[in-house]
Amino acid sequence: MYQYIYDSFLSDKKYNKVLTRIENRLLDLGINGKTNRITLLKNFESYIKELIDKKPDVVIIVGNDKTLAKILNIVADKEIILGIIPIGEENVIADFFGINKEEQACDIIAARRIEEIDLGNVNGQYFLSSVEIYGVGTVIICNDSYEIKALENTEKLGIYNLCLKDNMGVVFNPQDKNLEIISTPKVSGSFFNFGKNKPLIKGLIRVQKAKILSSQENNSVLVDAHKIMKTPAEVTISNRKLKIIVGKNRKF
Amino acid sequence: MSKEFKDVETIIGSTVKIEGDFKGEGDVIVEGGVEGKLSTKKNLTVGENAKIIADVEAANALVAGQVIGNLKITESLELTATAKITGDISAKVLTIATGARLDGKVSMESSILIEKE
Repeated sequence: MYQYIYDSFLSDKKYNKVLTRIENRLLDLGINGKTNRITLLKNFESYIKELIDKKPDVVIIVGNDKTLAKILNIVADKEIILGIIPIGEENVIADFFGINKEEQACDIIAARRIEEIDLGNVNGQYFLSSVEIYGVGTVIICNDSYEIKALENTEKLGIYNLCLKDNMGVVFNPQDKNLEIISTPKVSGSFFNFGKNKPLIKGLIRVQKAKILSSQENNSVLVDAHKIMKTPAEVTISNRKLKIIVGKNRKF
Repeated sequence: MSKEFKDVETIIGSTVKIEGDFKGEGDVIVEGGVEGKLSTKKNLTVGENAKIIADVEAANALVAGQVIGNLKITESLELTATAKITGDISAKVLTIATGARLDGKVSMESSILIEKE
């Protein structure tokens, strides 16, 4: 049984045509199912919980990265397979999983290539891609054995499960039970100094457990680029995995 | 970024400092600071602007920066012209470039000494 969850932004008329095309393609492929539209009037969390309690085999999110972030903590503990049909902008996660936009995603879902992906945990909440903190003076205690301190010229420290952007040309394996800490320097120098100073080098450290303490400028972390949480933030790799339908062009 | 980073397990970036007991399994590059203890089972590269105040253990090491502490290298150690070592070193193969500074004892059991111009 397939359950489709449409994000509230899709109620905008401009998405009518693309939704019709997607629904027709799903019908052609024989994987159509119940459509559930999130509206601002419904209590989102209890609505999704009710839907998941009906034990669907596959839950398909129709929306973008924010839709996935909203639903992740509700579905992560359940024995379901998750799929994504990306629409509009901000679909970096779907892109990482090799899922093309709109109708093309329907074919990927029909192919049912399933991978189990590590989930991170920050202060008891699941996250999929990253926990980031900006500012000098940030301290991260790693594996209970050493500390990373952000010195002057550090823009941010991030703890990553998925490699969504260019992180030193390295693709982090989201199935290796490791988290990667990246230190990103500030872009330094004026136009006139360009090429005179040596470029500052990013850092990469693999850990299984980390605790982020406040920086001088900041006492909050950004989770999956959408959610803000207060420090201290205990970050670990969860024993729980997410079963997700991926495309053959996935980046891992 | 450089393709060589793909094989590196750890890069201690130039804007961070590590304090404590750091143990690596793969290749480690240090461009920032380390205080405490640093060990890896594979190769260690210490960049020109790096500063390590720690006892260091590695299989092979290339040092261009500053190390205050003892270096215990099981295979090959190379000090470039910009290296500054304050501490004892041990290695099977040792290469020291002109201009490198070394204040400490050198121990090379069954080993070769190469002088590099």
